[in-house]
Amino acid sequence: MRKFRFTILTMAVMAFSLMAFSSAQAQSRTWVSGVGDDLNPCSRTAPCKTFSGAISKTATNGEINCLDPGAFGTVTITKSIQIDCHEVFAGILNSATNGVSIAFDSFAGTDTRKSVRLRNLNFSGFDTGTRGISITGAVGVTGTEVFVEDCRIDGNFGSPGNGIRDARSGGGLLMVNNTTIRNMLGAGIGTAPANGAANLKVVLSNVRVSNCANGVAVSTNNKVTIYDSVFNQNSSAGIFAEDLDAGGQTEVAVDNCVVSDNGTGFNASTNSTIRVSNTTAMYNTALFSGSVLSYANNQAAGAAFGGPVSPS
Amino acid sequence: MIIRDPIIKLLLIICFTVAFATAAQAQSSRTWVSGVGDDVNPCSRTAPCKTFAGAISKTAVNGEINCLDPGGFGAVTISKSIQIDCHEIYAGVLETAGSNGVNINIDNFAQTDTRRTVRLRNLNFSGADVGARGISITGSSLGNNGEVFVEDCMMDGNFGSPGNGIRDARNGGGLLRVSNTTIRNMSGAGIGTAAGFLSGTTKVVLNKVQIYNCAFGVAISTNTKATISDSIISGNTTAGIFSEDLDGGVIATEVAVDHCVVSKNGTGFQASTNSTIRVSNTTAMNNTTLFTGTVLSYTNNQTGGAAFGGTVLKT
Repeated sequence: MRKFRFTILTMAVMAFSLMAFSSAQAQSRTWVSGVGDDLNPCSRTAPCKTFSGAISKTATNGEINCLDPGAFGTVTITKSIQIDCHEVFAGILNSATNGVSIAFDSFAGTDTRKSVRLRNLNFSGFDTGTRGISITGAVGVTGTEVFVEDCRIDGNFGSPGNGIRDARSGGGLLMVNNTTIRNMLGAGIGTAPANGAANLKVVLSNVRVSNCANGVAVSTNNKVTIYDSVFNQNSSAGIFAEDLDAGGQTEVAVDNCVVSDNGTGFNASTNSTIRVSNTTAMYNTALFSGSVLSYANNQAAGAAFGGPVSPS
Repeated sequence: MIIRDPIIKLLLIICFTVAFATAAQAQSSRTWVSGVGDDVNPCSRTAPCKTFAGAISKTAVNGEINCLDPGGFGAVTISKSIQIDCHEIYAGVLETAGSNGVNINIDNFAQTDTRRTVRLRNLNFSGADVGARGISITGSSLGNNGEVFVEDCMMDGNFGSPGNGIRDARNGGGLLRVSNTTIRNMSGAGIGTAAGFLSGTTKVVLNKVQIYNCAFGVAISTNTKATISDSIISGNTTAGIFSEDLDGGVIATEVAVDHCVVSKNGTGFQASTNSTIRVSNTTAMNNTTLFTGTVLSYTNNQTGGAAFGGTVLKT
């Protein structure tokens, strides 16, 4: 009888646990805490400890929030989601690895938004990190969006050493706002689409990139605007552009920026064009190379760019 | 030998525990401070320390100190690459009379510490009217470059001599980048550089900085290349922006000022010995004197119609 009672009790506990676990699936909002536990349902009163623990309990198009300061670990994202730690310090230690990996190829077909939003995350590569945010997607995966806001990405001297790397070939949007990226072996913000890729639209605003190889390096078939941003002390180039599939479609507009102390300020490589306006470009070893056009309203101590483009 | 004395046994256990704890405390990639922490703790998330000085010895090179809850975390001397990031948490650093808040001495960094990079975020320095310097950066070696990033900080009330917000006296050159930071009420320069003769090049990048009520807003000295953008420099008694080059201009001191407001200073722009200041898209009003020295305009500034010392072509 005692044994029977024990078995009933065990079964009841298991059933309850399963129910609790099932009901914890697919919440529209989940929570992490520095003292949470990933065995919890990630609720406000029973938060999880890591982003990777919370994401499986967060619904597509839902969001993960942060209850108190903590280091919440690296995470791979395979569905539309927002991670928003506004007003709470959220660290991601990505020593010798990537911080957030966004794999659009693994998003469900029913996930029509294909939209990832990251806010107020502090990435630390601890001198050996490889990439803060890594975005991948094949040619056929279209209509994808990534928003990065109020983040800090630092210390990725492990190869390839990027702050944000966007290797989507199906095009899409990368918007980065109010974000600081520093101390990278490679590009602070870099794109790497395949030849023949659809247009990737990149919008950078109020971004500061220091002490990387390239501040920004955009590649094949990218349409880029950079506004109100600072790129300084990047050893190769402040802003680099190229188009490797002969389409000549990579274009970069730079407005109201400071580009200083870089190897080359603006490097428009193969088949690409950079247009510059209202920008202070000083103390670069070389001001520019390639097709870098000026709206004739930049401050470069009188040095000329590669050609004019008329304001209208 | 079998130890029978329970007191000896206890002492041995304590010794072992302490030794083990010390080893465990060494060099975490991330440590934590809390207003109610204790520096005897390992500075972990669940057992935080109380001061930056207590936490830094337990933080690895290239690691970071974070803040768990609001507090005054005390002055600290930094002698390795590190980040102190108290974002979203109020972190105070109180400077006692005549002392500095954060001392960064590049000369004391280990040779194996190749980055020589210090990152300070969201710290609030209070000089309480008597502080000397918020952040003091020193380094003597010509080959000893370093990088200092100051972001989202506030520095106030250093009327103790010499009274600076940030003073960068590295002779080895390097980078000082300050963004989104407010500096006010200083008896000397809000942000000042003081490299020796024939020093390396110091690169100063100021973005979204506000400096009020100092002797000098920004005072840039020998062998410095500076850009100042999106900033407000107002109510500084001697000059808003001062520059000089004291070693004969081998590496000329140059300052680019773009998209700023420079108002209500003694002299708005003072380009002293061997230095050049270039100004663009800037509103410069209500200064006692607009400029002295080689201050050039890109002819797109707002000064109520007053002219600068010359023009430089927009391109």
